[in-house]
Amino acid sequence: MQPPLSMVSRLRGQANRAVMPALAIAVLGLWELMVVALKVSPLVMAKPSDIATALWTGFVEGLYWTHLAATLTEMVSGFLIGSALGLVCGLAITEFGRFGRLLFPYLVAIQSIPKVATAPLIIMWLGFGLQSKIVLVTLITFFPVLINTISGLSVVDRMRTDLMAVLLANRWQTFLLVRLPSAAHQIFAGLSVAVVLALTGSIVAEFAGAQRGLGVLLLQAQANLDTAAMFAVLVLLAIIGLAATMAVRGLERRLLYWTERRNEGDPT
Amino acid sequence: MQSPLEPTGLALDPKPPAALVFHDVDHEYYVRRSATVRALAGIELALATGEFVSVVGPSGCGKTTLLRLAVGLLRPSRGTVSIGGEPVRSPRRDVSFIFQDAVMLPWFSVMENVTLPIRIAGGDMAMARLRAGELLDRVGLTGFHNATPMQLSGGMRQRAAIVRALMTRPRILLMDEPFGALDALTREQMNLDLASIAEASGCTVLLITHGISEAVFLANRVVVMTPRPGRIAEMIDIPLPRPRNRRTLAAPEFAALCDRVREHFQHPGSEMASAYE
Repeated sequence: MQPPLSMVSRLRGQANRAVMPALAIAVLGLWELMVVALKVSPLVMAKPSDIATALWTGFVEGLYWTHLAATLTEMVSGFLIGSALGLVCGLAITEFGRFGRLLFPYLVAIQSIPKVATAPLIIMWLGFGLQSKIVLVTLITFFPVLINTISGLSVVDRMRTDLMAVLLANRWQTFLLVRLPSAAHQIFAGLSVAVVLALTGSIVAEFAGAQRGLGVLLLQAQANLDTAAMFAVLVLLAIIGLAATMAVRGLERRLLYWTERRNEGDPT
Repeated sequence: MQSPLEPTGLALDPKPPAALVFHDVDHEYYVRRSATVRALAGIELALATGEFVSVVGPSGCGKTTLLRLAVGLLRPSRGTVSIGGEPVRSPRRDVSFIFQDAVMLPWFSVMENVTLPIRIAGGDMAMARLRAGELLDRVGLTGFHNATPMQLSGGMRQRAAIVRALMTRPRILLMDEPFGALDALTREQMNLDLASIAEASGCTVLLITHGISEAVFLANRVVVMTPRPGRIAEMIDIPLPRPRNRRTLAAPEFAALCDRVREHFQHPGSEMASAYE
């Protein structure tokens, strides 16, 4: 007798859940051992234990909080403003036809310019405060959401729009009942790209000139040749990035309840 | 004078008023700037009120174009399509359309999908839900009112689509190969159900189909079409008694009528023959 397939996959899922932390511990242990055994200079590579210590003191002594708050503020408000603008402009461009089609190639061209390159300019204009960072993050998140909104709304399921035509739906009803939900998946793809870019954008903007933020902390650690502190900030950034991605994904799963979930057993 | 006791749909004299009329209809599609494809040529067809007409023909004979003209999604290149004497310019509330695919919106439940026409028309939703519930039960979807379309089988989705089409109490029901995607067993059951639904609703029905026995089983009249450009090759009256049911399928007259339709598609070597089995 073979066990049913669902049970096999469930067992495999449990195995994954057990293996993942074990693997992480093994890698960290190996890392620690290698640094000690090979007598690697602490300038080149920090030990995981030193990184953990740096993280601990960073939080306990209160060094991190203001910087963390600054980066999160820039990232979240920039992301919210940028994606809201991207969504609204995307809707406007697709709904008001011809003009949008003229604009689209330019938008794609602008999209391929690295927006982070404007950071020095924006800081020159708006100063070292939060404002300039939020503007850069807004700019960086705007485009992926815009492009995805436009392409999502442009793909029209002919059968569905025919149905709406036969039911004498007006333009607004067709938009709300069919076109927007049809495009939602694509829009969310744009949002998950944007949320990662938001973090990148705020760090790069901080590099270009800031008083507070995790980017500033990274530069300070670099100036002090404190490798462990730099790694500690990278750990923080990884956690923020992961949390933000998961938040967008969670929202998508909630709002787009009808989409089939692929890779149900996927531990991510 | 028209007698109220007269059976509907048979060759009648005096005639009841025609519900849907195609008069000398041609349709051409623009392929490129100058090239056109002629899909329909000289279609002359009148459906009496309450009549059930099936259209059979090979792929690409313009059957679907015929329906799209009737529902007002297309305008004829020449001739007129009229309903109750008025030319069709755009979709109307008293005409329902059933697509090849059920076209259920996955973000709505079965109930929400089925009541969509009333929601769009701004009608009484409480009443609509009540009526939808009854109709869903009648087509065997009891217990699936709040399911999502994804949870239904293809046949169940198409039943829901039929309910959606009936919600507005249409005078005319247009169906574009509604069971084309279903397996043979489901299809047979759907035909039995559709026969009783159509008989009960009193709608005028125009059904496009690939299935010869299905066309004969359901209709008062079968229209056979030729390949591109689509012309009417023959109209065959189907004087089988109603209600149609399993016994109809076993009747020798039924087989004879099917054979008569099939003859059109079985000239040796003809392209039309291969499409039908």
